[in-house]
Amino acid sequence: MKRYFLYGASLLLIIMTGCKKYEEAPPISNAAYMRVFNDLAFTVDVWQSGQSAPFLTFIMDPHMDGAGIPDTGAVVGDFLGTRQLYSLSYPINEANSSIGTSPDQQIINTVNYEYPGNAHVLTAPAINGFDLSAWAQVPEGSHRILFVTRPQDNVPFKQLSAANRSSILLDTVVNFEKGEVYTLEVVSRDLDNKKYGLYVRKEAFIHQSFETNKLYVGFVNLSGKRPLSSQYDFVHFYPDNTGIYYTYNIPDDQATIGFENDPKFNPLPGYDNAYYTTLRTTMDTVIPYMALPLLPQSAFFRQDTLRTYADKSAFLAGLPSSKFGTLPYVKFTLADPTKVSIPFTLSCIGDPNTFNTYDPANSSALFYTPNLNLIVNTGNAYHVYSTLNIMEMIYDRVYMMQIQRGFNEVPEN
Amino acid sequence: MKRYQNIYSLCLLLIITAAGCIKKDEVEPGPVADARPLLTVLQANYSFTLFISALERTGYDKLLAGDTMYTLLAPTDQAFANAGISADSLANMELEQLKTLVGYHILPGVMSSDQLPQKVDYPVKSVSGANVFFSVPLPGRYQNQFPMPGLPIIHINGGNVTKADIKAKNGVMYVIDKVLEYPKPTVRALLESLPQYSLYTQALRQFGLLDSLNKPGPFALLAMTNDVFLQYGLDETALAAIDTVHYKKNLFTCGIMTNKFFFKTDFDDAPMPALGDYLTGGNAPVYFMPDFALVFNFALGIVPYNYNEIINDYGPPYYGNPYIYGDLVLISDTDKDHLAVNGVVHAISGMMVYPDNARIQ
Repeated sequence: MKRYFLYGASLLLIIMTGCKKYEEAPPISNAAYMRVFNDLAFTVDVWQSGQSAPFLTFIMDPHMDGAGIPDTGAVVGDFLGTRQLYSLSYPINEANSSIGTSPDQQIINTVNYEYPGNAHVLTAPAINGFDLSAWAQVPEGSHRILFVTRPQDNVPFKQLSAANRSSILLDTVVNFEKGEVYTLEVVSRDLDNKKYGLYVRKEAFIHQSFETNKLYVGFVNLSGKRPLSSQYDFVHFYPDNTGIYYTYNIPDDQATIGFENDPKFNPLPGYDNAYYTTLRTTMDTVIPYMALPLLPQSAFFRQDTLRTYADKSAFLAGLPSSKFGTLPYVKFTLADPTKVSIPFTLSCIGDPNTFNTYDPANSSALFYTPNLNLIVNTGNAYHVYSTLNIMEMIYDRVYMMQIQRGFNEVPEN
Repeated sequence: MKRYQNIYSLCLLLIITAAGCIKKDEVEPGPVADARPLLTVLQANYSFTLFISALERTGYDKLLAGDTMYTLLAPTDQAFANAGISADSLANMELEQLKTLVGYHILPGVMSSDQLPQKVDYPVKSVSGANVFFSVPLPGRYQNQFPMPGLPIIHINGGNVTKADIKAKNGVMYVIDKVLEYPKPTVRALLESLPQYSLYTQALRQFGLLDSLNKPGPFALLAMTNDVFLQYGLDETALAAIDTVHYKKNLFTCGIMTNKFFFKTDFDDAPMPALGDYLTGGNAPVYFMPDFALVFNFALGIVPYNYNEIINDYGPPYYGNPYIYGDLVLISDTDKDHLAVNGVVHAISGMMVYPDNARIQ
C-alpha cells in the first residue's frame, strides 16, 4: 500500500513539476484595448535587393540600451509576420505555439500573425455584445510605438545584434483613451519608395447599435500609392474610385439536381448586384457599415443537414471553380464604375476553419473570404450567428476581420 | 499508521511546493573569443599566403596585429588563382592600387554574421572607402537554402563565404572564395576598363547613352560582350552603321536597369517566384522600362507592351515566346558582378532585342 502510494506520488510529482506556470499579469486600471497587425505583404526578390522582408517586432514604450538602440519595452510583440487573410475577434492561434509552417512563408520559425495573438496578456472584456479577446489591455494615455524590421529566425528581439535591433521601420506616438478599442496596422504608403506608416483606427462598433437579425459589412481601402508593378493591370490594384456592388446568392436546390459539383444560385430579391458605395479615399478611420439580412436558420440546412462550404478546389485550382458549396453566400464586386475593366470579385464562400491554410501567393484565395454567416456548434447543434465584418482592401487583396455578434446567446433567427 | 500519514503529508507537501515553482529559462553562456589577433589567426593557416604577402607589402599587417577592432575578409590562395593573380603579379602591382585592393577586404569594427541584417546587398564601409555588400539569404516561401545554426550562408559581392565568424582578439574573420574587385568610380569608367565590352561601349556611345552611366544610379547593366555582337555579325564597322536615325534607342537601353543593383548570387539569396507561383496571382517578376517589360521566366527576356492583349486578357500577358523581341538570355557564370560605385555589370548570353526589331520603318 505504502509502496504504491510512493510510486503514485512520484509520478504525480514528475507530471506536475513538468508544467510551466506563467506569472499572472498585474491588473491594468484605466485600460484601453489594442490589436496590432502587420499588413505588409510584399515578397523580397532579387530586384528589390537591399530591402528586408516584412517581418517585424512591435514595441510599445521602448527601453533603449546604452547605445540608444531599443532592446525591450513595456510591451513587445515579436515575430510579427504578415497577417492572415482572415481574422476573428478572438485570436485564431490562441491555443498553439505558432511554431510551424506558415502558408505564406513556408519557413520553420516562430510567426505571430497579430499582437496580442497568442501572447499571455490581459485582454478586452466583451463590449456591446462583441467578444473582443483579440485586443490586449494597455494603459490609457500616450505611448511611443516602434516597429523594427527583424530577421526571420527564432532569436528573440532582445538577443538580436545591435545592427538588427536598430532597423527601425516606424517610430510614432499613439494616444489611447480609456475604454476605447484600437486597431493598429502597419501599412505601406508607397511601396516603390519604401515609405510606411501606422494606420490607427478607434473602433466605433463598440458604441454603435446594430439590429439583431442583420449581417454588417464595411469596406476600407488601406492601399498606398499605386505601385509600378500594377501598371497596365499586371498586378491588381484597387482603382481610385472603387465602386462596391453586392449580390446575395441563395442556392437553388431544384436546379442543382444532377449538378452536384456545380450548384445553382439565385440572387435574393433586392440583392442582385446592388450598389453599396464608392470608395474615393484611402486610410479612412470611419467605416460605414451596410446591413444585409441574416437569413433564417432553415436557409443553412437541407433536410436537417448543414449545407456545405466551398470545395477547396475553388481556392487551389488557380482559376475560379464552380464548386462553391451550397451555403447561401454574398458576392462583392469591386470596380471603377466609370471605366470598362474587369472587376475584382470577392465571394464570401470559404470555411473559416480552413481558409487561412490557403497560401495567398499560390492560390486563388485572394478572390474569396469565409462566409459572412458564422456557423458555430453550440449545445450540440449548429447555430448561425450574425457578424460584423471589416473588409480592408490592401493592394491586391482584402483582409477580412470578422467579429461574432451575440456570442453569449443562441441566435433567434 | 500515524507515521505513514506523516510521510503522505510530507510527500504531498513536496509535490505542492515543487509544482508551485515558477521556472525560468536557462541562460546559455556566450561564445569564448580567441586571444590571438587577426594577423596571427591568418598566419596560422597555409591557405592565405598570397593575402598575407599583400598585407605585408601594403603595411596593413600592422593594422591587424593591433588592438583596434576589424572585420577581415580573407580570400584564399585559390581565390587569387581564380582571379588570375599570382605571387609575381601581386609583387609587381602598383603599391597604391594594391593598398586600395587590400584595404577593400578590411572593414572597421566587428561585423559577425549574427550582426548582419537579413538583407540582400547590405553595404558596409571598407578601410579603402568603398562599400562591401553582404547578402544574407532571405528565408521565405521561395527560399531554397536555409542558414543553419553555425553554418551561415553569406555572400559578399557575389562571392561565397566558405567560413564565417572566425573570432580573434581584435575582430572577426570571414574566409571568401573570391578576391573582391575594388569598385570603379562609375559604370562608364568600369565599361571602358573592360575590353570584352568594347563593342557594347561603342554602341552606347553612338546612342548617346554612355554619359548617363555617370549618374548616381544605381544601375544594373545586362551587357553584351563582344562575342555576342560578333555572333550577329556586328563588328566595329557594322556597328558604326547602326545609328539612332534608323534604329530605336531601345535596342541598347533594354539592358540598362535603373535603380536596380544585384549580384548573380542574389538570385539564390532572394529568389524570384517560380513560374507556377505567379501564374496563380503572385507578383510576377517584371521590371518595367519605358518601352518594355523585362521579365524573368527562368531566363531574362524583353517583351513589348501589347496594349491589345492587356485590354482583352486580364491574365498576365507578358511571358511566352510570341512576345519576346530577341533572345531569352542568361547571366554569365564567369563574366559577372563587375562593380562600380554606381552600379554593377553582368554579361548576358544573347541579344534581348534584335537590330531588325528595332529598325525604324
